[in-house]
Amino acid sequence: MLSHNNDVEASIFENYLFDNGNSQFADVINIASVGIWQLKPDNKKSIWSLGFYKMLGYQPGEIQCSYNSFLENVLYYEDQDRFLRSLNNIWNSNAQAIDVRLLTKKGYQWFQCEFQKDDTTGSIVGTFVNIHNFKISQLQLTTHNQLINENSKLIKMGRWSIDVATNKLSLSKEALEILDVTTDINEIDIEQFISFFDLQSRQKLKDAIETCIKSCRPFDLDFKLITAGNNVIWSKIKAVATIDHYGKCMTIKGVIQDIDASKKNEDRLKSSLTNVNAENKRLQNFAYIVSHNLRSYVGNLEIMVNLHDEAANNEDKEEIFGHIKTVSSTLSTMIQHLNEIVKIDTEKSSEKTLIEFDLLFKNIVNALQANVQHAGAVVKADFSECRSVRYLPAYLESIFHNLLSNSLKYRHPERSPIIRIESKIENGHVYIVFEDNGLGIDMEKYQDKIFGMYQTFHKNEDAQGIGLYITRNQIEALGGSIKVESILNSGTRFIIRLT
Amino acid sequence: MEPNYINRVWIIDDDAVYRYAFRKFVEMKGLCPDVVDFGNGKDAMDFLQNPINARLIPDLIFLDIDMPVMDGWGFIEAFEHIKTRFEKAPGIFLVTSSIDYRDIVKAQNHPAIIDYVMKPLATHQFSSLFSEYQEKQSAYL
Repeated sequence: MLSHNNDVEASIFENYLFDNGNSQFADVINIASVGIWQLKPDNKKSIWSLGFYKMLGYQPGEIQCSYNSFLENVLYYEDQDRFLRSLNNIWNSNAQAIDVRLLTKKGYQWFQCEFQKDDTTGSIVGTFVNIHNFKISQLQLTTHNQLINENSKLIKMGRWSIDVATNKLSLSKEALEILDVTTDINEIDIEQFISFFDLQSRQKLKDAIETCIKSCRPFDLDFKLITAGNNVIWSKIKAVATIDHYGKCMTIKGVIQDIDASKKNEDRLKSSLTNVNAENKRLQNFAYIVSHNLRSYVGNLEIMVNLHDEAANNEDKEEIFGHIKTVSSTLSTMIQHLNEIVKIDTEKSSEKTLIEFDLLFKNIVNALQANVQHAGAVVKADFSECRSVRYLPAYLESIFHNLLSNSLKYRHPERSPIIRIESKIENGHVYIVFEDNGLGIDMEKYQDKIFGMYQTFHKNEDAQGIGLYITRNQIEALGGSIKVESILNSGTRFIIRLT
Repeated sequence: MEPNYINRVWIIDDDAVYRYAFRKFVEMKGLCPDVVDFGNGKDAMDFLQNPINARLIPDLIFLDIDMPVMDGWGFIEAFEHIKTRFEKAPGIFLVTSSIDYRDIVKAQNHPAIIDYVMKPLATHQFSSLFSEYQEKQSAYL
């Protein structure tokens, strides 16, 4: 039998039980890691179980077992108010529960305290259970949830899930924010969800969800989303299937992310990559032209010099020398051409000005007036749809000049040339459509060569094969494009995107 | 007439300077009595299409690939269609500045083409091409 230690006034609950003939409970209480206490409100006398001491990390007698000592030394001062209020409330209700911090040998820890009145003895009986780990986890969970919410907001991501059994889709608060839905709805139909996306995306998303349900295949797709506020934004929809014991898809768990900003950056990057590739191609083409042409001219000069050496008489020598002169002068013309092309790239950053199509084209027609009259050509210009463009005047003059003189040069021998030029505006781009009823080009054969350098397709003395090459370079240097449609013997149409 | 004697050669090339040099060299060296030149495949084909010219078919053709109106491959293809009209088929040297791999492979596998020669060509190569043809002819006979 345990004895009282009156020096430290250690009161042990088990002794009290023994004293009162309840010895069978004593062992049980000893085993349970629960602290039991009893308080007599009239004289503030309290008794603690052995477990109570153990719980706090002490041996009976090590600390004073008293109501006042508990309040002052064990209970955390911030929890005192709540504890006392709860203690007083016991007279209004039967049972009370409260979480408080108690000072153990290891420091303050969280305990759950439950107590009730014992009417037979007029005392209050209660328990303390250590819930420190649970409380800490709970706290961490709250912090984590807060972090997740903050992160979701930061990366503009929300959650959604589909319950396959009910075919309902639930959305997190963040997901609703992305959809710009202000009403507080948790569940919508799958169809309703799909209708948030643009027409081209809907079938794809529908198929992806169906495949995910049927064969549990996850998906990760980027779609254009039309928000409730009618904004069009790029979104990423990612999902995985969770399965039941039979491997069937039970729910689809997904995220929806607003990736508008990064997608737009990506698009800008793509378009600049296309520009760089086009530029590269032009440079490569130019390098090929330089090497090809220089090689053939230099080769010809070499042959001529060889011939000159081998010529037996002066007559031959003189004749051959005449040809050497011709070759050297065409070589210098070619170098001038190459120089013009190099100039295109250096001039392209010059300042653009607002050009009236009508005025500029009239000037070109005037400059070529003699040729137009000689050919008996009819030139019809219609710039009513788009009257002006911001462009380099020198380039536009050169483009119009080249196209017009080509149409005159390669007119059909059996009919008078009719040349039409029109401006158009489409999706914010300015187009020029230029067409004639001339000789036309065999597209099947020359498709790839039309805009190449020194490519000629007709037996024409004046053909140099430089005009369209320069035209293309000027257009592409300013970020535009040129396309050609042609039918042999019926005519040619150039479609130019200027901006 | 010796069977491997070259009576007539054609040069089909859009480079007028090169055509002149070739002709002048052949004349100066007396490699062949009759040199005819065309600026593109179409002109040469038009000439062959005329039945009056059937007997004027050359022994040897120096053919360029890159030409306006009808290129070298176009000429070879067009000739395939009418070759039965002639008692002999001319030997063809593809003389070109094309370094396109596809052109080279195509030339090597084509039965009508004797050899593929890269431009620019030095004058002494003209003579060696004539001998190459004659050697091949002798070997064949």
